[in-house]
Order: sequence, then C-alpha cells, then structure tokens
Amino acid sequence: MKPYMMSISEASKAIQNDKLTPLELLESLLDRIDSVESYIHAWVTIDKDRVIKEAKIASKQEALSSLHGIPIGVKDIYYTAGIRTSMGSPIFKDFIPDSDADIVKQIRAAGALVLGKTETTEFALHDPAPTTNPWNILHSPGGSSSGSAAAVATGMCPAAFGSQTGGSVIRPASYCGVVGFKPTYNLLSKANVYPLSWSLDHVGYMTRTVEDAFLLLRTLLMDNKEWSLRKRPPKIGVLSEYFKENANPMVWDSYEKAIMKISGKGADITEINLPKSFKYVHDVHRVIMSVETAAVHEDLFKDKKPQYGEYIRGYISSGLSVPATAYLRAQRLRSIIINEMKHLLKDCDCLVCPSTVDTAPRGLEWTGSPAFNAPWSLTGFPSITIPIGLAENKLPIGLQFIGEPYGEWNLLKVSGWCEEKIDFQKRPIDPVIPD
Amino acid sequence: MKVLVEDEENYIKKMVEIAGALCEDIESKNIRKHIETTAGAVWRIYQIELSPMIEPATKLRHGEKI
Repeated sequence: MKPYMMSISEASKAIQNDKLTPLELLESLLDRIDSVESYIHAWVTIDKDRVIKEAKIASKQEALSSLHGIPIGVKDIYYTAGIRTSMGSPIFKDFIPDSDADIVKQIRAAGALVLGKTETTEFALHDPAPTTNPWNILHSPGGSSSGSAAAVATGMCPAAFGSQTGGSVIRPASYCGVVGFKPTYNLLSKANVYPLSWSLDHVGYMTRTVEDAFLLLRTLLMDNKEWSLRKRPPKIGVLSEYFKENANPMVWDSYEKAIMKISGKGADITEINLPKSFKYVHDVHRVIMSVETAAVHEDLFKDKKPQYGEYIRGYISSGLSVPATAYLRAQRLRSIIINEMKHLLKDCDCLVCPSTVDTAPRGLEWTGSPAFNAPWSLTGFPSITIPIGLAENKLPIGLQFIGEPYGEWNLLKVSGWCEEKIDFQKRPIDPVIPD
Repeated sequence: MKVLVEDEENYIKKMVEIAGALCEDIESKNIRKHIETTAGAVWRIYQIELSPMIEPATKLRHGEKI
C-alpha cells in the first residue's frame, strides 16, 4: 500500500516499527497532491521547503506519540506562525501570523507536521471556496471546512482540522465521505482561531477512520487511553420527526437502512422524541450567530465593507440591527434547549440522525444546509459523522452521532462500533470527473 | 412578549429600515433576504413567553459543565 493511503494509525505503526519514515510519508502525500489537487483545489498554501525540512528532522527523531511525523492539514482560519493565514478573505490575503493557534502548537509538540493550509469559505461562513467534491467535481464539498474534508477524502493528508459554528465540520465530512468530529464546546482550545461566533464556534477535524479521530483527541487532551473496539452493542436513540420531515427521501432511506443494519448486529435501538423547545433551535441559532458575527466584524466592516462577500455582509448587516434584548432572549431560550436536550441522552449511549439534509449540492455556489448540525452546535454537544454509503447519485451519505457533553470517549467507541458493522470503504478516492 | 410592532411583516419591514440606516448596504437582494430571515427569527423568539428566572446560557466555558 502506498503511504498516502494509510490512516494515521497505520502510518504511525509503520513509523514506530521503522518501516516508514516521516519523510517517505510526506513525499507520498506531496506526490498525491501533485496528481489530484488541480481537480480538487483543497489547499490555499503549502510551504513545501519548510515541511520537507521538518520531515527530515522528524525522520531522525524517536517517535514519542502516535502523531509523530504525521502531516496534517489545517483550515486557513487557524493561525500558523510564518505561514500565510487568509481566512478565505481578500482582506487577509497577505496576513502572516507570528504565532500558532493553540491546536497547532499542540500537534506540533506531539511531532505532527503542518502540511499546509486548507481552503475555507470566507471567514468560515457561506461565501464558497474553490474546492470541489472528490466524489463528483461538479458538486460542492460543503463548507466551511471545504478543503479539509476534500483533502482527507482524496488522500492528500490523513487528517485535517476544521471548525464548526453551524455545520462546518460534520456537513463537509459527510458530503466527502469521511469521518468528521466536533468535540464538546470549548473542550479544545480556540485560541488564535479566527472567530465567527464566539459562543457557537467549535474546533473539530476530519479523518478517514473513527480510530484516527480517537488518536487525535487522545493527543490533544494528553490522555493515554488505548483504542479498542467496543464489545457490547450500544443503546442508540434514533431521532425522526423534524429530521424525517426535512431529509431528502434518498438520504432518509439510507439512514433507515443503516439503522436496520446496526440493529441487526445487536444495537439496542430506541426512538426518541424531540423536546418542545426544538422548534426554536434554528431561530435561536440564527439570532445568536448573526449578532456575534456582526460583533466580530463590526470594526473591520466599517473600513473594508466592499471586500466582504454577499453572504457574510448579509449576516453582519442583519446582526447589527438585532435588539440587545433579542440576543439575550435567544441565549435564554438556548438554556432551555440545552437542558431539555440533555434529558434525551439519559437512557442511551448517544442519539443519531442523518448528517445532512441532502447529498452534496450540484455547483459550487451553495455549500448546502447545516440544518441537521446546527442543533448540536447550539447545544455544544459533541457530534461525529461516519460515512454509511452512497446515494443513487453516487454521492456519500453520513450518519451523525450526538453524545452527552464531555462524553467524547463513549461517543467515539459507539461510532467506531457502528463504523465496523456498516463497513463503508475507508481508503482515499480518486477524484470523479464526469463526462 | 409583545414587541412594539404588531405583526411579523411590519416588524421585518422596520428591521430592514434600521439595517438600511445602519449599514446602507441592503441594495442587494441576497443581503436583504438575510436581514428579513434574521428579522423573522427575532420576531418569532419575541413571541415566546419566558420566566425572568431563565438566565442566558453563559456557562459554555471550558471545564464547566453545560
């Protein structure tokens, strides 16, 4: 197997057993980038000389962690010292930070290599990046972490960081057929990650396996847990109602088949009703996000308005007009929603619903709806998507798991159990170029 | 709670006017649509009665239980 095809777990074992060097792994990934990037456009910046130098040093060092010598992509809203960080905006096209985001510091300290900066929608909202969907390059990869999802799916890196305020990790991961993981709000540091909406922003990442998501979290939390597959089948709370009403029938059909499959393998499936407050989720999310986005950008917006895209201009303009009491009312309703949602998780290991409303939209102008992800960004609960198959249009569909706050380890074990039972392919794909 | 404008349509209209005065930036159909969507959300959450005992969600901080 070529090194670029390896998961973090496989590459790490090969490095630790002296069967692969970090430099060989990097060279394989750079070759892969050379062959597919012209179709995918996942990267804003790759500083080849710098990362090759780092890989040569790592190749002479002893591996101290499972991330040693592993090249990782980082969304272009994470500050990287000495590497351009553009936030997907012309305003920051020449901005070079002098310090790293905390997450970048942490992965570097663990021996990982920053391979490059991945494409993001403008300021991580909806004005699209140039990235295409590897399963059909005429379709959107989703956003805002567009480049991270597409790079992992095509084997240009085994993992990449993203961020989620509405659905910006789970949605692109699902559209691109990879694992996307968003831990509990503020479990991972957001320091020096350019904000969109402070109380909704989450750090998250994409991998090709749940085990790799586990290994990354273990490193970031400096934990020493070992990965092992859960033996006892999980108890899963299945969400329907709102999700069934809004999902494309093709998505819903695949979701039901996946539930039947894991049920057939022994999972205890219980239907869970959504609380009354769920009907306010999207309005509350909208009000909070528009006000906080306006507050993040108001100073810059005064001077640079013409350089903002239409979508984010709309968000800022609307947020500036919302009364203060409406913002507080939204945050008060959020308290109710969080409390009611926590009760749903009392008697089961996790909840599940489809990861997205539909498969990846055709065209690059619209990155798709975050409607099935925003509830978990609003509550701050951890969520993860795993690919479960392809729809009739040959685009991936994902299954989203939601855990209790700080219940990441259990969530990873449960989703890992389901990943094994569903058994969708985990290797990188070549870009699909329709006739 | 009742806001000062009696219906959703008028509330949205007022908010578009305010956004126009603040931002002078509502000429685009897309931008206007955003303002209208947010205004509709504001209107709807104003219609929900809330006890003063319900505090804003402020405990979303690292290390604290949600």
